[in-house]
Amino acid sequence: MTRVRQYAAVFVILLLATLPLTITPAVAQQTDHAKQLGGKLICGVGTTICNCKQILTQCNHVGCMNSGMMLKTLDEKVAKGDPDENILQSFVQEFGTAVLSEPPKTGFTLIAWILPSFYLLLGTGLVIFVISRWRKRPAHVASLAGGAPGISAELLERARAQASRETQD
Amino acid sequence: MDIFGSFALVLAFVCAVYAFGGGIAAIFTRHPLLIKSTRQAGMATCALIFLATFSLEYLFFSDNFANAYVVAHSNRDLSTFYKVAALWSGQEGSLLFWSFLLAVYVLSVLITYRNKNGELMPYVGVVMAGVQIFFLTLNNFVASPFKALALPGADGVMNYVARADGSGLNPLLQYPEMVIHPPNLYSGYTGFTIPFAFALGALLARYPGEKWIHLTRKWTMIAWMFQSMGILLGAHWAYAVLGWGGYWGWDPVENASFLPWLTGTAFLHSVMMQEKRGMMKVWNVWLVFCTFLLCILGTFLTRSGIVSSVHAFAQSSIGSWFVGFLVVIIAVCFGAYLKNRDYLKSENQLDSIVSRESSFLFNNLILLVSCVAILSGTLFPVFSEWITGDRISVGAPFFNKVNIPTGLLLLFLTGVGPLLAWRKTSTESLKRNFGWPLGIGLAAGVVALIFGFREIYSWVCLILCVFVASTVGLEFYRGAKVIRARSGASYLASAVDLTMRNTRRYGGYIVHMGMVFVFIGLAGTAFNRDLQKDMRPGQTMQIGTYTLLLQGFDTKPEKNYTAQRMNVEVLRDNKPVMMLYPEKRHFSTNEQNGTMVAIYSTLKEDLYVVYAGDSPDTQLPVLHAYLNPLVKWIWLGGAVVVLGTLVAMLPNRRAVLVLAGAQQPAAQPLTHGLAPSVTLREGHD
Repeated sequence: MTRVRQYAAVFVILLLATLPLTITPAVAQQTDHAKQLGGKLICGVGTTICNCKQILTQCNHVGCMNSGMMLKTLDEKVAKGDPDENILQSFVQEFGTAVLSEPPKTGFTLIAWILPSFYLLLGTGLVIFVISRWRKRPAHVASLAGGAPGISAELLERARAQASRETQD
Repeated sequence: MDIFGSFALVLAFVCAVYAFGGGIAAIFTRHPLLIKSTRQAGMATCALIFLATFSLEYLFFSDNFANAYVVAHSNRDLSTFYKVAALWSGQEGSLLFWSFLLAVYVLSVLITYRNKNGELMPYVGVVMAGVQIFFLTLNNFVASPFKALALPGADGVMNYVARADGSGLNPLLQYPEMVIHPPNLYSGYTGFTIPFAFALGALLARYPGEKWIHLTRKWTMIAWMFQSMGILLGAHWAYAVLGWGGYWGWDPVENASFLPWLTGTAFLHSVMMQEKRGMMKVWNVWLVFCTFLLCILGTFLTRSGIVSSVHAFAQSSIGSWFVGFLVVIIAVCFGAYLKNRDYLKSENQLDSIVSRESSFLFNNLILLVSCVAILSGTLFPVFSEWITGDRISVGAPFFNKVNIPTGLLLLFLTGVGPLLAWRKTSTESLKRNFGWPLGIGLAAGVVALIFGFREIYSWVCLILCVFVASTVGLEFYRGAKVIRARSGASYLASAVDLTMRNTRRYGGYIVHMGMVFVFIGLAGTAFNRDLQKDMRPGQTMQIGTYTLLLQGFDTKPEKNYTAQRMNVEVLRDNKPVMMLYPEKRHFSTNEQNGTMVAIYSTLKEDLYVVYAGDSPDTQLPVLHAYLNPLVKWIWLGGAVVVLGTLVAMLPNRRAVLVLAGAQQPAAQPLTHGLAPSVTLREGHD
């Protein structure tokens, strides 16, 4: 490929990459604050009207009275200028903790937030441990995998030969 | 016909029990007649399940409203198309459908390997029969779809009756994708039974580990492809039908389908470590076990009512059966592993941390962390209620916060992994393979910043998408360049030739490219916006560059429902673009309502319009419009993923040339002067 073609390829890739840039950022609207708070609440909790358990601002079930009522209450509280925390707490008092779309970062439910990081740390530690063990293992020992306790290399080789003999793709 | 179906199911159960018991006896005795008879019993089981399924479909098509399941899920006016889908619209029918798809796989395996792998197949047959017994137990004794409709009479005694018409199908399911989404998803779930059966069979037979990988590679890819398609079709259905403007809500049932996909994806990658280097044997066996267990766990979550979901089947006692089955599988897997784990020792060492092996390890780590985090998030409300007595919700905001960073890490590894060499990657190779892609990715990031792109995750995602796309493009370019130099063909033809020489490797790259498209689509979510307005005819609404003009309403009577439509003209720069007809549907049979979204979709954005009902204040119809950027890239990405998987399943063209080589001049080696990452060798990287 000539240098011109290389530049052309890069240009095309960059052109495609800039496609998302033509998206105009959302224009701030009056209801944005209510929408943001609505994203922290769940529809259909503590009521039999709607059982969808969707994010409040996303519940669009036809004729869902529950989300309509909750959104109206939310809009009123936001319009009154109540602090966010108070607004959310008022919903918790009415519907229970389950009305919050994510677990509170306090008490027992804090565990839900810690667990993913814990898994990542644990997994990373495990991978590092495995890598270091594999690196330390001398090549000749590694190739004699059957040297492990409980099975001889000869037996393992026999099993491998048997598997090869008995199977076809 | 319902008696015929019931009888077929009972017979299928008997045959499966024979295939299982006889199979165990055949393993010990190695009696050829016993082996043959159990294989035939396995085939008979499948044939009988087919008969039972077709007989239930016949009940739907013949409007047999003496059958309780048909009454609950169909009606006379339901179109033929949806009468097919009614089969899996309820608990009983969907379980039968599960058995049906499993039977398709089992029969395919039994036929494909009828004269092959004589020593291994009895083990595999026993495992498959064991799984079939479980589902046939449910079909026969727990949730039979062949129950006759019975109502209590005046004397309180139950009398068999027939209704004039049925209650109809759930309106949410009356959408074309619902006819293809569940079969795809279930094909994924059931398909993972086959690698599971081979893995467990090979372990029980004390096979050291490589062979079952070769045997099950295509089966795993088929299951993975169906699972991917099922998930994406489900997302598209949610997008186009539920009308909330999104496609993925981290609902427990959605999560349940995603979990085995994650472990299945991890397996498809780590399996290469075993094939190339004889490493990660224990890991691979457990990945397959976990994938199958997650399929069963997902089904348990969907059907037990243990977690709340808009998609779940009604709460029932069926969950305890699944718990029992899970316990049995875990016990068998652990037992087999503890007994024969010595046959799964690794054969090689790791030469360098900067190597393909390490990238696979980290790829598996990210996929597994994501899987476990989603699983624990899904089950956390249950544990919270058990321990504190307080039920909480773990919704989309939690899962987004946890999974977006891991998803980006995975995307990064998607670009890095394939360019690292096996064993050890030199600094020179790193520079050669990563220089251009990294530069292009960063340049895209800088351009994005200049244009005012400030959403951090989307910005990182954009850079990584360009980086991965460049690495994939560079791999194709380098390989095609070599072929072109020899053949004189065009770059496109050379790239196709290159792909067909090593379908697995380049098919994999196509899958990666598809995932890049999916991530581009996901990155657009940060820029979604919506607007809702009470509309009179003649009024307009402005969203983005679009003007929506409400021209009027009409009522459109259909066979099974009546639709009220808003006639919305879409204008751009005062020029008409198209008409959109968002609908509210009323199903008179079951007095239910439904929505039908109207979408104007382009590669840049989707204009998504919903008729959101009538305003209680103004009594005017409400139009809810969303502008969702880049969504189409997700569906496009899904199609590319499927294409790549299909390519990866094709045999290499070069193998055919070798077989035909006697009549042709010997092929010249093509590897001269190539970097290690583009070696055109036979096999799979």
